[in-house]
Amino acid sequence: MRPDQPAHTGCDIRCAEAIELVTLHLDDALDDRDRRLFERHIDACTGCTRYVAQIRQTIDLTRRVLEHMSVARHSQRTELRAAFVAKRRRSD
Amino acid sequence: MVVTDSAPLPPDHPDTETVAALRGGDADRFDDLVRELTPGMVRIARMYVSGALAGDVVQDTWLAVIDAIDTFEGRSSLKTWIYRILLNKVRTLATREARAVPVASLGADHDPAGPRLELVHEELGPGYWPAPPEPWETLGPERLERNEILDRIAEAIEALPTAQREVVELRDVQGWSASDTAEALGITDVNQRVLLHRGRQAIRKAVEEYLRAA
Repeated sequence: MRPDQPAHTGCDIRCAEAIELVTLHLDDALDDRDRRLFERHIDACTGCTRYVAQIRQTIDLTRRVLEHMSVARHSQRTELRAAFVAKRRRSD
Repeated sequence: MVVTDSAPLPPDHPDTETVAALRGGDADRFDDLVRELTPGMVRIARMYVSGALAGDVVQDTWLAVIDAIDTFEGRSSLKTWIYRILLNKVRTLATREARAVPVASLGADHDPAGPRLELVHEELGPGYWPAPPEPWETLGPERLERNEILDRIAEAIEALPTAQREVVELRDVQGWSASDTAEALGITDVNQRVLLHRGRQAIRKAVEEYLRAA
């Protein structure tokens, strides 16, 4: 298969349809029929194989955005802790 | 301490132990929960209101949790229940505050589904890649390793329509399951997946553009 011209032999769906199934595929939520169609397409298509890899990379990168978030401010937490202790003591 | 008026949780509820600790007045467990959930809650609240107000509404949410923990019936996870309280509060607040319209909803993109890929191959026709996308490792290998790429992703998330942004926040930034996300946001599983799909496509595109500019 030339990388610029995917052969798509044996594919029943086009790239556009395969791409619409990627999120379901990544959630392992495809039904049997769609899974077969999707896997057969991916096996024959360089473009969609790369696309799936890039969506996986996108998810991994997005997950790292939160690492840079600060935790709750100390003063805010102290205040909440005091409110919690006061409330739970009343309910004894 | 024996708490008598608390709603019983279903057997095998994953949060049974945490809920019992909170009801029993365990301040360390409460503090742990505040530490764990607050950053993500502030990010969600900021989609609706400005920074300071977002902090206030998250604080209010925790006070509501303290008051209502005895009424938690365990129909969802504890986290999902807390986020529902937050979303109710912040959405109410946003409709009251004229200037607090969700920022992302002001964007040019009025199509809730977002932009689609234009796929037309010279010989195979419409619906096929014109050429396979270039692997990111060869497109911009140095840029892929830089932290700057995370800034670009954060910007891309902020630019999403609110509905997509909420789902991307919970699923991909905060790592929630599909069902917890749909439950917290009050949307169907199908809707959740469509919004996630469009959001990821937009972020992928932003990453590709960033790498290509190298």
